[in-house]
Amino acid sequence: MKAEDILIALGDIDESLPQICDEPFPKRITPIRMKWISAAAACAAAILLSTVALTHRSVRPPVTEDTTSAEYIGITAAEQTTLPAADQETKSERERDTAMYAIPSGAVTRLPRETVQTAQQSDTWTNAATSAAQWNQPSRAITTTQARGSSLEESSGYVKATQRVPSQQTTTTAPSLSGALLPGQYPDLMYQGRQYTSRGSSDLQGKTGRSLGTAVLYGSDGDPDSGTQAELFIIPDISADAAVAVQFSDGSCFAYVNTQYAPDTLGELMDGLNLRANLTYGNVIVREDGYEATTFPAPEQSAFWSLFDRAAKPDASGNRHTETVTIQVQLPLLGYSSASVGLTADGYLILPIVQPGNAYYIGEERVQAFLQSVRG
Amino acid sequence: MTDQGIIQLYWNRDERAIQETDTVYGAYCRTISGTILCSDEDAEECVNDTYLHTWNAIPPQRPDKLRAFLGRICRNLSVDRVRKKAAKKRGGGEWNVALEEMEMCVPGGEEPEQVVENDVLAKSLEAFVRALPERERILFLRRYYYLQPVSDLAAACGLRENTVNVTLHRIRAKLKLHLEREGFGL
Repeated sequence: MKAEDILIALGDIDESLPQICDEPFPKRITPIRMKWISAAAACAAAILLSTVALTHRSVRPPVTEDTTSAEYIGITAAEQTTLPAADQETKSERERDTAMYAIPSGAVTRLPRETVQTAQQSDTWTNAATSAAQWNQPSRAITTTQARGSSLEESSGYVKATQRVPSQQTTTTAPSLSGALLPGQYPDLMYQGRQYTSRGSSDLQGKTGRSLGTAVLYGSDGDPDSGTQAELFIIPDISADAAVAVQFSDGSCFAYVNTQYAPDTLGELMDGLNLRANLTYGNVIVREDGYEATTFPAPEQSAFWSLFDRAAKPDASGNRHTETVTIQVQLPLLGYSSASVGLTADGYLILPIVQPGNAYYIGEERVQAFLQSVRG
Repeated sequence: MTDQGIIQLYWNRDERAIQETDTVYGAYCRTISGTILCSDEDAEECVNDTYLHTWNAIPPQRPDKLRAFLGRICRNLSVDRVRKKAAKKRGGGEWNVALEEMEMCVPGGEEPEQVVENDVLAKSLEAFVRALPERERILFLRRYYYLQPVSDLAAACGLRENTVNVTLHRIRAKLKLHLEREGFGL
């Protein structure tokens, strides 16, 4: 065994174990700290007893400006004379310091101000918060994100380019409509009783067909006054049942897809989206044992399209299909820059284009024949 | 978006899953990767690889905690990358330092180069980590799981560097004893 083996094997421990590092680092309780905590507990008990005593007092002594703090903790006028002079202190300071003078026996003793602060454990919390903040290090990471802008696709060649929103904003504040692209501001469109959803990364300017008229799109913030009018167009060779182009007043034009589009057969879906012309494909990822994946280069055209059994019907069983083969595909006309076609061992083709998760039974033989051609 | 929402996007093979993952956990992954690789450029590539691995792993997997799931993938990819860099003598950063520290944990035996099954060793290490007190567990995992430099570790935990070094040394001694008891040195 080598030292390297230990560091590598650490990566395979239960993944929830390292999450403890997100917690604040626990403070060690030293004997000295224990003594301070005991004193603080005594102070807290004294305050509680004093409050109870004050509540049950039948006759209160007359309150003067100089006896305010003493009155609050329920000590007698004679005892007040033992208090240190507070001429230089303001009233609020005296009120805050009342805890310093109270101990359970009722006698008046001065405890250092630090004792009271320890009672509140302010330093512990501050250190804990600092520790957590340093570990999570949001500032550096967010700076990196912002500096790199939206170039994920450039660096990996796979992950689609997106408009980044800093994590800090998305987790703590509601997104502002004004900063988003128009499809982000107006994600939904109702047209002829069908609901279409924006595909923000598509750009159809100058690529549209005939006009379908106008429609009003409403904002994602739910404000009915924030609607905007846009003109709808046909996307050439794509059924308007499946997707339309929406041109906003600034001239930008984006695809909106009908996520409920469900033709009877895979062939009709292929025709409605003109997949043979618009769909491109890339690598094939095969999972041998459920986790480890082997990537194969893009197969021949004939092998890929042989999967698309035109007569296949969508699976209406509602069963969830576990895909073992993933084919990276793109449909840039509709803004799908990193989608995928899935294949299952039991002969289903999963095509999450337009309508998410649609599965078509194409038969195990087709899947096996495809895998053979991919593996060469 | 919640973890379950993001995972559902992965199951639906919806590419927005990657965008949402980056929005919610991008900074977290970059911190892990950046700490191990000490290079923003390498870290960015590693984070993108993490998303690709996640895309390939879900489905069929459906992790309970996406943060932990991503963290492990990102850590292991970053370690793979830093090992390659170290092998090419292009700098291994904290990896090389951590390796030197970990040398003392390797149990001595007749066959020092004995091949150990990774999953068996991982199970043993997991048991060891679980048995550590909370403070030691955090220090050990930050140092050897996330490869956080001792200086950063000390600052993050509000400890002096010397304290961290001494504590880590004691933990490594315990680990060596644990591994010997588990029969790894035989």
